[in-house]
Amino acid sequence: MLFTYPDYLLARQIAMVLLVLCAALYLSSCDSNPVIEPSGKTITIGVIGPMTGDEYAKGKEGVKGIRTIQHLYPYLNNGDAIELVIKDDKNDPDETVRLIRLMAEEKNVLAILLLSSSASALKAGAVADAYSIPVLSLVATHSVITTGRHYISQISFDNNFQGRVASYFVRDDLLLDKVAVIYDGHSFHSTQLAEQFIRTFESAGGEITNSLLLEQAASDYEESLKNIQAQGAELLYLPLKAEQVFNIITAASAINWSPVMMGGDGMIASAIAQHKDQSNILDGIYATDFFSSVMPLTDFGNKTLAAFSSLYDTDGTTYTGLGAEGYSVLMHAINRCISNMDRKCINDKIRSTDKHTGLIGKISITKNGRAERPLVVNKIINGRLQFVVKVY
Amino acid sequence: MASHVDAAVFIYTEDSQGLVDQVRDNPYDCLVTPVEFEAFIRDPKATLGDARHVVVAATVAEVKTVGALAREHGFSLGIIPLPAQKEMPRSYNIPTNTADAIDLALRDDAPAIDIILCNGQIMMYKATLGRLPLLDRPVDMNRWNMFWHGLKRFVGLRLLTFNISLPNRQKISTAACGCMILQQHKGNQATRSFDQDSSLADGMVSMVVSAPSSIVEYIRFLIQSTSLSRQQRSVPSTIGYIRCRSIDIESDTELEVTIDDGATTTTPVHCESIQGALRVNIGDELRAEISKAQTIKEKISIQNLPKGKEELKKATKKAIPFFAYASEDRFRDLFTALRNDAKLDVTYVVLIVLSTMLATVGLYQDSSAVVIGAMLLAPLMTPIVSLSMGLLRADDKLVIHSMIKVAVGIVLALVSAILITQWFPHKLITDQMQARLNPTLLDLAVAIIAGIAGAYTKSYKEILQSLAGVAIAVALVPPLAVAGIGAGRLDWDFFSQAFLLFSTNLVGIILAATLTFRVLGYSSAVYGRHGIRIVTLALVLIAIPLYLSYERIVEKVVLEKSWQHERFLVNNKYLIVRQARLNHYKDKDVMTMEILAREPLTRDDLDDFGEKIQTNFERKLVIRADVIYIP
Repeated sequence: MLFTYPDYLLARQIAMVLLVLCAALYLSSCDSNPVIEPSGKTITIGVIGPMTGDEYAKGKEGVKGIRTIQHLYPYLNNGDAIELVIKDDKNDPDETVRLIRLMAEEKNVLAILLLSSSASALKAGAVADAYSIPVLSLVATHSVITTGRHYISQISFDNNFQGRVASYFVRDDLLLDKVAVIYDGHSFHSTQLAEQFIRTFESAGGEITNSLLLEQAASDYEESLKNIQAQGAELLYLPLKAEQVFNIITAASAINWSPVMMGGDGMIASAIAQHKDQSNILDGIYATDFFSSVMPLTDFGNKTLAAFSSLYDTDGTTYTGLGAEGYSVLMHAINRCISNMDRKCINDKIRSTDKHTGLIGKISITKNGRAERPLVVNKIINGRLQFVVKVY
Repeated sequence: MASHVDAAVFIYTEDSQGLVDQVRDNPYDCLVTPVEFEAFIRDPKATLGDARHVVVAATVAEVKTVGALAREHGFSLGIIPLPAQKEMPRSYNIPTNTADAIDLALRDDAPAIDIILCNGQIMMYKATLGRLPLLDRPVDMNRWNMFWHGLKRFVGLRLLTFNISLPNRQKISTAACGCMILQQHKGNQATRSFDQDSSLADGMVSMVVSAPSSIVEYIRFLIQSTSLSRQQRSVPSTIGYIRCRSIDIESDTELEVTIDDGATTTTPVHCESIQGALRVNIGDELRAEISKAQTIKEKISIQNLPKGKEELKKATKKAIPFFAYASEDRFRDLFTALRNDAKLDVTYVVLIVLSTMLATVGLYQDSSAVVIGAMLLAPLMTPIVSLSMGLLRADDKLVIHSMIKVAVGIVLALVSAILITQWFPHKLITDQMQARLNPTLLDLAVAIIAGIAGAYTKSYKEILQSLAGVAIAVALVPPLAVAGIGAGRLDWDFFSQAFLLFSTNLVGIILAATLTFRVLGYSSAVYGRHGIRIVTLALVLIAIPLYLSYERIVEKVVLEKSWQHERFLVNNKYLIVRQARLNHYKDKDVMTMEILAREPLTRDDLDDFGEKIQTNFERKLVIRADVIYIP
């Protein structure tokens, strides 16, 4: 007989050996982090941002992100711990400047993470240069923050990039020809975004039917929207804060008009953090942003998310993510200055960040302090950022 | 218009006392003398008087007693069934309506019918021994009840050994779960299983033997029975049928024989037909059958019953198996055909070479029609099906011959494809070839279905076997040709991918065909398992690289899909990736993409585009871009 019982036994043994081998291979591929022994020394990093006031979400959420990475990586490569000095600037540029001085002179911090808006960041650059203290702006997207400055860098993309991407997305992905823009003339961020959007959209052959200041529209939202509707606008571009957008949406609904709408970065983050009950009003709106609620994360991103979930009961926001990435970039820079840990070295290393793994992709910072990183366009569905496209 | 007797005796019991007036006051001018049953049997001659016809309304046992007396004293019989009686009126086609039953019972043209004696006892309609799931159920039973009854009765069913002796000295040893001896064929499920040319006056005893060889066979029989029309002609596969003048049945263990659901006797049992022994008023339908009856021949249909010492030993050893076993004798023709199929011959060699050459050319032409044509030519089915049967039955010779034939076919196919490839050294890889790389578990599914088809068509001669042969060739010829192309181009990655697909399909077909033969009941009673285990192990081993390949496919699909959501802003030019396709060429990943752009792209733009991709994606990609401009 060709196959005897001993053949069967042998075959079974071979199968068992193969199974064990496969299991061993699988287990050996599991990732493991090397353990760092604490040195007993501590370095100090400053964190400045709005922990109170209208923009408290930036500060508080950003700090959560920072703390998450601190929890994941409590020590530098040489075993030094990092102590955070956290200060509230209430998003006031003058207060930001004062706190930077304080930290540079009295607190002897090696570097500062800045969670404030563009207005604060624009003023922070001069102070940073004066004290030769590296400042990494995590949230501000104004395009001239780093222009002519040597010690302030950004990890966020700038408004030029964001405005261009938004306009091309509307024109070539959504295939819309007529757009109305409503922007806040008192906000650097909003104004720059609107200007860039308008410039790019028109150069791409699109038509800007209306370009309105918020305070003009706010005098009578419904009337303003009726006029815009009469002009045939297909999309409203609204680089505004969340609560400002709520008013516009409410007014549009009142006149039975539901145009496509698009906002800028941070809108939904603020809405979730500060206006959770109303955030569903934003459903259906497109928005440019740094992250998305549902999209593939890098390994670092997955680890960060897991760590965040273990520390906090809430959902993370864009500011949380930026806080995490900013701290990670700074740690990476400090680790490369381990033998010569001074502010200049850290600043140089920040400005030579190359393909650093962020939460969703790579981040590079040029020697001009500008970040190169992808941007996502989301659609807000059930209060979550549903990923549409990613732009490099 | 039927005529009625002038005078009759009406035998009644306590249960039928209420009929006395109705029978006596009949509208047929028949003088009826009611007589109590006990009084009749005490002195039947005196009670009869001048009457030559008796009507009886009593239990089956009492009717049989009167019947025996009718035979002895020569009077004819009419039967009025009691309300609770179902079998007797059904068997004799007697109306259950009392008035109609009286009308029939008093007719004066009672035909002579046979009676069957089992161990000397009169059998009016049936005698059963052992267990007969479903066969003894009435034919008008609700189908769902019948199915459920059949399922319940199957629990704990075992086959018992029976030795049946026939008048011509033929002896049959078989294993069955039960037998049913029948007077005539109306009224129960057993009658639906064979032809209806018997009657009450044919002088024959009919016997149905139930011998389900497997649970699968039994379920199939249940389904057939619950969906059969009354005109079913073929004997179901779990049934044997014997019809002759007398039957003797013995069993290894003493079995109780139940006659007409009441009386009993035990094996050994002798049943014989006494032709024309009684004159009984039966229904018009049965009368018509008797009048039409021609000379009925004996019939023995036992090919479905187990026979042979080994088979009987295996069958009676334990409970009925899930799948049937088959003896060499039982399917001699099939096994002979398979052995012939396993032999290497010139026709096979020529066809395999031609089909592979044709497939190779078709692959280069990127023509699915030509490749399909090659599949029609391929003679691969026969040795593979033989191999499967050999593995199932542990027939070493069959296995070795089949394996040699398959191996020779593989080598010839590869060589043919390599030679053709040398004629087209610079030809590109086509979509048809690409489709045969990256094998997945879905390809294995195709092979398994083809293997089932191959085994199934081989088992049923009436099905055109070339149909399944094409199905098998679908799974084997193209990947083998592609493997040959890879070998011819010395691209071993190409070769290994295609050969993996071929191997997967081959193992899948063999395993599927082996299991199909098992289900159809072709496995040997004694051997069977080891071959299947070896093939299963081979399949598991193949499944590992297949799974990895499937993982790669999924990764590729996910990556390609994700690219449709990627956009690039390169030197202020917005690029939309509309479609991306990842291929593997030599050791490089080549991403071919369709890009939409509004403005013309310069060399610098494309370089920056490439740079962005390298910066932001882990995988090292060679980019090929097809730019479509948006006006």
